[in-house]
Amino acid sequence: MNDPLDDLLTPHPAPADGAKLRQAILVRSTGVLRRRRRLKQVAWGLALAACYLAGMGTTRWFTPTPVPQTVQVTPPEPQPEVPAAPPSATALEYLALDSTDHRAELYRAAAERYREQGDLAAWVRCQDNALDATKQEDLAVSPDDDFVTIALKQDRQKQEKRDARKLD
Amino acid sequence: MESNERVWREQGLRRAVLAGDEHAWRAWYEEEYASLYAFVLWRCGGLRDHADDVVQETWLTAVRRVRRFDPDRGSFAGYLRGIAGNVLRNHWRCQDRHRAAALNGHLAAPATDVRQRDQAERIARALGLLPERYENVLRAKYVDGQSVADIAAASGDTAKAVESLLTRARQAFREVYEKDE
Repeated sequence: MNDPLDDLLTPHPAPADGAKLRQAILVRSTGVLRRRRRLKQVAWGLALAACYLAGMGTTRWFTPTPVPQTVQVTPPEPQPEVPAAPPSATALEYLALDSTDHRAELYRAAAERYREQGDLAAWVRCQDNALDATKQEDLAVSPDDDFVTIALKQDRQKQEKRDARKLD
Repeated sequence: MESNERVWREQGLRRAVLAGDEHAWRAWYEEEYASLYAFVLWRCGGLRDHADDVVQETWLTAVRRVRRFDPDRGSFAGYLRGIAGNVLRNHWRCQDRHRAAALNGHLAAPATDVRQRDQAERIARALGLLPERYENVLRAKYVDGQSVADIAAASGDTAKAVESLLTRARQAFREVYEKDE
């Protein structure tokens, strides 16, 4: 005789149409697994991005900021005026030729310059031209005159005396 | 030797599942689904609608908490049965609350096979109230279909000790079941 307790404890056979539930649970549980995997990937991505940003921040914050350089512009010091080169003896002679007021002084300056250059002929010529431009009263021999000027003045005085004698 | 092989295999599956390997999970699931369903259906007294809910909840909990499973401490089947036991406890607690609410509200009970359903729920509740040792030996005999010699070999006890344990377990079940009447 069968014990009624065995009937109570004997399991019922699994339903034949359980495949649908089986598949549904598999899909749901696999979905949990898939979500977990994606979350892990996202977490990795975020961690990498955080590391990258931290590196960027470190680089930015710990790099000394360049001090703005102030450029002082000092006005150029006034250059000492270079004295203009004195005009050459020839130029002075031409200036004297064109001048009407200071011809005698310009000829003397040219004569002096020629004398410095050792051009004695030009020196004498310019001194002579200077005497041509000099007023009559200044033709007297002066103690400041050099020997060429004295000679030229005396020659002029002799010439004037000869001319006066001829007129007489 | 078989146990070592089981541990090694389940450790590999666990690692693969934790890494997100869906194929490993599918293999594990297909391997254990039938036995878990049979166990839950037995614990639900053959009530299929309850068994379906409990099995689904058990698998979802298992996949969420697979990290907690330690193959060195027991098999995956045992781990699943442990989860199912907790889910069943909560399930019946919830059912009792619903039943009380229905009685207070004078809701009409479903007419279809009320007596059979009531008996199944009494079986399920009685199994849930048994100590773990009694439940395990009854499961081995009725669900897994093991002989007394097989149970003795698996547990390391003598056949006589298993026989005695089985008798006590049946007696305990009878008492709890009849008390619920």
